[in-house]
Amino acid sequence: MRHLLRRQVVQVTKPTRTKIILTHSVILGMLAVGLSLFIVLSLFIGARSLVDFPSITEFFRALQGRSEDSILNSVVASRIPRTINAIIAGAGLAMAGCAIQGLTRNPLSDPGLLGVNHGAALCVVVAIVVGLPIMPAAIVGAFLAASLVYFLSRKQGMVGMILVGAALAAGSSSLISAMVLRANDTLDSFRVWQIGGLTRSTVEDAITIAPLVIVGAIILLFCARGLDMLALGEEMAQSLGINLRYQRIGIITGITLLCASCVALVGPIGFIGLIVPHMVRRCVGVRHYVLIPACALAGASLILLCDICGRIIAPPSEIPVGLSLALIGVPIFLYQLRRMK
Amino acid sequence: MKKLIPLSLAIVILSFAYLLLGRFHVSFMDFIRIMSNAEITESYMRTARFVIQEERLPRLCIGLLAGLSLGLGGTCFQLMLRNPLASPDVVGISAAASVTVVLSMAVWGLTGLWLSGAAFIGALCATMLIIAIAGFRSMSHFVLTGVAFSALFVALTHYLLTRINIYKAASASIWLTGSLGQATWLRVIILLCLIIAPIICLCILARPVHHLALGDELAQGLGIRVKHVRWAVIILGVVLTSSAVAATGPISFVGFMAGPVTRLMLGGRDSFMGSALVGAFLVIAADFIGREIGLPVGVITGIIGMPILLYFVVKRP
Repeated sequence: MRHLLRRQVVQVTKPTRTKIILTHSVILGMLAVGLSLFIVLSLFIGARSLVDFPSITEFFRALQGRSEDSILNSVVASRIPRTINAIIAGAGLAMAGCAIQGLTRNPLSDPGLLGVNHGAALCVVVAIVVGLPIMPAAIVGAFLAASLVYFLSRKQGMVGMILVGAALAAGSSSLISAMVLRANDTLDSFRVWQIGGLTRSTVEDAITIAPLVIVGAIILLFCARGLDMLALGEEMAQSLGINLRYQRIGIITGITLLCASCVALVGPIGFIGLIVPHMVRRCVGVRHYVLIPACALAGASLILLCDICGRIIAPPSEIPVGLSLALIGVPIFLYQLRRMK
Repeated sequence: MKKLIPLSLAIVILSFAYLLLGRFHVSFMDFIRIMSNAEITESYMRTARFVIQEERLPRLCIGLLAGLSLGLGGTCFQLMLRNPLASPDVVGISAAASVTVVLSMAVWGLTGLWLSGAAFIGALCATMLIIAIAGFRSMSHFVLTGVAFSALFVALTHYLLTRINIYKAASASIWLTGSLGQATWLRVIILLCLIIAPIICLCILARPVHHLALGDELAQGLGIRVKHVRWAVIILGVVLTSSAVAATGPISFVGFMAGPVTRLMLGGRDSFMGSALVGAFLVIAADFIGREIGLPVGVITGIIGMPILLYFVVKRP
């Protein structure tokens, strides 16, 4: 892997470059096609469609809200925000995971290391107790946590960052317990938020959050070269001309933006940031300028897949995305672990 | 050893404070009278006897024993993983116990001792599962598999918490934060029986463990079976932590803080006895504070533990 990078950096001949770009475009195209397929499936399939399957024209009319069957209208209308939330959350979290694995040079890192989920959870509980809206509280909490982790571990490197994140996690869960145990209503609202779900945000919320995700993605794409160089080690990257401090700030800002917006949209969902970059890296290679978009597409597809499976496995109840991701993610993680050691 | 004497004295003083002070004051003379089973006539003495013998004394005993086990378990993990900031929680013991407890509460409606038994069995089964999947290959493999399973168990716990009704969820949440509130003499005796055997084994293994601290090759040169000792100590740590978690619920940070604080006090040396004492002290001190405020002990240890851990991180050169 390192050998490949060095060769590409030092000696790039035109046919090789074109071939690489072609391969990457083909793979990205395939991922995009796969994603579109999953989008369609997500809109089509659900507890309802197994009962009676509407025709295609009926379905298109329902998409526009003009079908005769009002139940079909509302069912399809409820699937649209789910699908949009799934795409945004899946793409954002997968990109964040890819970036943090590149930043910490540890293929087993998860964007939750920055403490984003826990900070968001703490602020959400405070918001529930005080009576403020939840989504802005989640974003504020996520940013506060990430800033705390960054500033406290600036001198310590990655190990310090992990430890501060762990401290924050345990401390915030204690504070959350302290507040949640006092009133059953708080516990009720919080336990629903805690598992993460695709249905709790409307399309308007998604449209408000989407710019944050896009900005985060653009920041990460700007840092793509820095991420590539960081893989060689910090001193090597510095001698290749990367400004370590700016890159770190940029990458962490991008990750925080993505994680904060996804947590605000769907609640804390883990495992995507962990497993999607692994699977994508095996297909696309390690250059981040293609890895990040590929992770976005693959992450969106994976969440849609988990959501669809969660819907059809046990109708009419459904397995929430967080749980089905964990059930799928753990075997994949263990398999990756076996391959690595 | 000598440096541990002030700590032992501190624990004794703290225990007396715990028993005598609080919302219901009991004077020392009354305490002596109660403990010596003297004739009780006054009504306030009867209340005092109830408070001391049925409420505070069992809480104190279970707190000491749980803190002891958690401190020992934490040090086992820190010594064997060669990481001064490791903790048995990382491997998913608390998470496995939590998911077993919520499942038992929801599905079988277990309470009390049956619940604790289920938690203990759940934690041990999860550890066996992790060892079965990870194999005895290497410590870091074991830890990472434990991390994955821990995340899975946590996800399952959160999911189950949403499926049960709110009252069961509230009582499950109380258990999940770790509290000494359900202390009874039966629990104290059971916990004592559970942890005596691992403690004796740890005493036997204390010397090989200290040799292991010199490094694997040196220890092997001294004739110690490195792999066997390491895995034995880890499993003892798991049993100790599972017993404590089953008795009181997962009390956060104790297993993790006991080691570094001991090392700070002893000037860089690790000590099983020291971390046991520090663990016991932490739990009783936290419960003393929590009892007055009305919060379970796990919440207090988490709130105190976070700045302490942050201090350790920032101070690391």
